[in-house]
Formats: sequence, C-alpha cells, structure tokens
Amino acid sequence: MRVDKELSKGSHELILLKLLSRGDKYGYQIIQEMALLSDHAFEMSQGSLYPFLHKLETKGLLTAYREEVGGRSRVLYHLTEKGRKALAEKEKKWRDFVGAVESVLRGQAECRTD
Amino acid sequence: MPDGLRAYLERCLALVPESAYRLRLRQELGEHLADLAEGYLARGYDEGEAILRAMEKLGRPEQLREQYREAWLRQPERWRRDLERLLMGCFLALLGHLLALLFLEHFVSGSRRFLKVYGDPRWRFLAEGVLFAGETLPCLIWLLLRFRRDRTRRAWVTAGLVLVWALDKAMLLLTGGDLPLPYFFATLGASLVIGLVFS
Repeated sequence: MRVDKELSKGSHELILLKLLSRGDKYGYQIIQEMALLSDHAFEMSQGSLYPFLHKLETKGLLTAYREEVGGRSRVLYHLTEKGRKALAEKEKKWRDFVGAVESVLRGQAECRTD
Repeated sequence: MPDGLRAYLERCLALVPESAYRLRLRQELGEHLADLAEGYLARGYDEGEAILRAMEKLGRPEQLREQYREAWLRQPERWRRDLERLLMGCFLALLGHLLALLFLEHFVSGSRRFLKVYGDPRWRFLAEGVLFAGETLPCLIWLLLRFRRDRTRRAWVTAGLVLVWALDKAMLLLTGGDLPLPYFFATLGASLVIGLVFS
C-alpha cells in the first residue's frame, strides 16, 4: 500500500525526526527504515532526501557528522535538543489533526447510518 | 567510480555553483548510490544493471538538480562564501594594480622617452589604461571562474568590477591624486560593459 504523495509530503519532517530520535542514521538507512516501518507506504523520493535533511540541519533540528559504519565512511544525522522539542510539538499537532479527522469521519459514518 | 555514475552525478549537481556544497552532495549521493547498487547486486543483478537501477531509484537529474539548487540557496553559509569570493577578487585587483604600477614605474616613468608621461594627456591615458587593465583583468578572470556555474554570475562579476573601480577611485582621491572626469566616467563605463558583456 502506498500513501498519496500529497498526503505523505506534509508528514516527512515528522517521520524523519521520529526515526532520528531512535538513534543517529545515514541517508540510505533512513529511507530503508522509513519503507520498512511503514510497510512501504512511505517511500520518499530518494534523491530528495538530502536537500530535506540539509534543510532540517539549517533549521538547527539536526547535526551531521562523518563516521565509519560497517567499514564505510558515512554522514550520520543526529537529532539536536531543538529537534527533539520540534518533534514533540509536531507529534502533538499530528495526533490532534488525526483525532480531528477521525471524529469528522466517524461523524460522517454515523450520519450515513442514520 | 564508474563513468556513467560520475556523469549522472554531474548532471544532478549542474546547478549547484558552490564547490563545498557540491562536494558534500556528491559524496552523500555517491554513497547512497553505492548502497542502492549493492542491494541490487545482492538480488542477482549484474553490476551494470545494478548501477542503472540505482540511478533510476535516486531520480531524474532534470528534477533533482532544481531541488539541489534550491537546497544550496538555503545554505546559511552561501552569502559569506560569495562575499569571500568577491573580496578575493578585490584583493587580486589590488595585486594587479601594484604590478601595473611597478611596470609603469620601471618601463615608462624611468625611461627618458616617457619622462613626461603624466604630463602628456595621451600618455596619461595610456598609463591609466594599463593600471585599469592591471586591476580589472585578474579580478574579472577570478570572478568568472569562481561564479562560473552561478545563474547570477553576471550580477556578481559586474558588482565585483564596480567595487574594484570604486575602491581604486576612493584610494586615488584619499591620497590626493587628481581624477579627470573623462577618465572617471570612462573607467566606470568600461567596468560595467566588461562585467555585463564577458559574464
């Protein structure tokens, strides 16, 4: 199952921050985990990932550093304190949004059954 | 790195003028492509096919290069780097000016034939022309090279040449030198024309 592109676009920042809150990762690893955890529902355009990560880095939500992983030198991304705060805020907003949409959808369903 | 891969990355990064950011993207994309290709090799594809599929998966260069350019434009360091290039151009202009001055001192002022060089308007014009060329050329070449991939190259090169012109005239006036109006406008016009035409 793949999620509509327009729908998933707005959630990329939240997903990236969440994945990085579980540990530092490099680009390819992020894409793999994103696809795996969402059962391939979220498959971000791979070439677009890096500008996106760099944008978050510019905002101060991430930092990047180079380290050897599995015998290869990689650029790893680390969630900063500011990034953690932004993540908490975004998670809350997301839950509020999903809750609101859910209530509307449930209400609609009830209206139909009436 | 295989030639096809290198050419693909060059096409993706064609609109990123800043060498440091281009290098960063090239390294990260190169590593990502290597990981993708490794995945395809593990699934039984041959090397050529694995690389092709990796490039397909990363995206079309025509689409990616616009995104990479926009990402570069967002880089906070960009303005500092551009300014550094501009100032380096001014520094080279100053060196060129000094060399031209040494040349004039040695070959023109020192020679009996050109003893009255600064008194004669024709020779004065020539001497000022040598000074102008001495400071403009190194700056022009430097800026053209450093901003060669930049869409705003014309603006930067012209701004650099006009800045060099302004510094030169300010120094001349501060040190009490005379500045005939025709020369003032001729050099300003030449700086603008060279900047606009050559870039």
